[in-house]
Amino acid sequence: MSQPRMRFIEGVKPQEGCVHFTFEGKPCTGYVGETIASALMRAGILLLRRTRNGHQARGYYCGMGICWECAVYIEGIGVVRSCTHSIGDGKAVSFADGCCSK
Amino acid sequence: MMGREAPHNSVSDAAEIIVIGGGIFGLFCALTLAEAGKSVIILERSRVWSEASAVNAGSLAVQNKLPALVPYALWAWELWGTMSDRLGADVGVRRDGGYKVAFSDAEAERLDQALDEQRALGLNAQRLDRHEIRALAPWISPECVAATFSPEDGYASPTLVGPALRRKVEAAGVMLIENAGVQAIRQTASIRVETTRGIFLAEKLALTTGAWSMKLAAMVGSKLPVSLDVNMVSVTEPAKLTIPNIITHARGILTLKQVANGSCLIGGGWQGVGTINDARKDIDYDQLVHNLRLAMRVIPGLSKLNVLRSWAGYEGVTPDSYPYLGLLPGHGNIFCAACARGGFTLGPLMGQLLGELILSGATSKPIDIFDPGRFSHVTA
Repeated sequence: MSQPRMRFIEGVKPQEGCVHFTFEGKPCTGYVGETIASALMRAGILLLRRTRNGHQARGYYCGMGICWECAVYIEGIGVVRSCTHSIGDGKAVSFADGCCSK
Repeated sequence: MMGREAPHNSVSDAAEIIVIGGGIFGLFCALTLAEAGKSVIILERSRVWSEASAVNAGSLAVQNKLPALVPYALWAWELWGTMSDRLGADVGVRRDGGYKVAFSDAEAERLDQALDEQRALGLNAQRLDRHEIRALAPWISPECVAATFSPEDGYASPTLVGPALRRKVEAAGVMLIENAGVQAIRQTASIRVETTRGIFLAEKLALTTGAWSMKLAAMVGSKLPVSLDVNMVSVTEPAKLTIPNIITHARGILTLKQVANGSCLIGGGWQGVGTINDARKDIDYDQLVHNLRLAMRVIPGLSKLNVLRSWAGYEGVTPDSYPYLGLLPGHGNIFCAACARGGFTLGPLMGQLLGELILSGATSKPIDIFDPGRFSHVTA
């Protein structure tokens, strides 16, 4: 049984250049160390998922890993909170709701 | 917060019956009384539907009840079955049955014993072996050696029941006074309840105060032993709808269900930290890990999911785990209904029976084993 890991958020390192990823297939760019939520907001993407009940729009809300409203799915990793997860180069990011069916 | 005293010594309001406690017992009691034409005031120390009624995991299980409470859980289901119609809102009632699972031969023996007792009391349930479980519920771990299945288990959403029930109670004419902490209860010609929101008078009083019932009963000189559990519940992120049933465990240490949005609710009475006096109810992570490991052991597919939140809530527990329901010892006009193991399941019935008792002195179901005076001669 795996134990919970401590999470360390490095923060943005603009001098280390850019990373490239996709959100729902759309190419996006972020800085090394930048959170997914930050990179998506700069790309003008605010809607990160829709609720199963009522199909309501959800996105970045608390900004500190509490509310899970900004959850997204990263291919090969799983569902993460985009506000506290740095984007990695080449990652395919998509809507999270119902992710485990993927 | 102290200091919000009653503005003056005059009476704020009066009714035939005052109900103290705005949880599931109190609201259904008040509804029963109001529908019979009585004037009712509910006094609630914080907000209506804010403690155990609201923060429990929503199980409407019969299989996990003590044998003596099985008939009451089945009677309660007669009310739950039509609850959405009665309250005029979808309150998420589902009755797709439940599995109670065992991982060892010793646990399987417990299942068999409970099955015999519960069947004798009218529960429809059957024993399944490992192969039958695999065929019916392939999402349950192959480690599970035995289970019982009852089509009578289910669940509802406490989050949806609360507001709908409140609207129903208010529409029935009940006066709801929130943030009215009770400071004193005096018996003169009538019953006088002094609160932080004023003074209220009534001919009869009902205490439906759950974990707080020992304190309230003590205000009128009655001994009502209640101990405190601080139960933890966790909710996962939404997942593909896979689990139609409620899952419980032979040793009573797990409840699990996947609700309408795809999230799984995980409980089972694992203990958090806190007391009523310090108003604390926090997660004990050392305990929570065991709760979640057990859930993943029963349903391995859960291990892919994030837990979004865990929380804890108070549950008042009586020495024999049967609820209190009846007149308080030493009183002729102060009643009590509180502290059922599985209070969300039993709440509508317990509230209704208390209402019947207050109205007519009799109840439609037997309540002898719930006598609030049954421990009054026991020294602590």
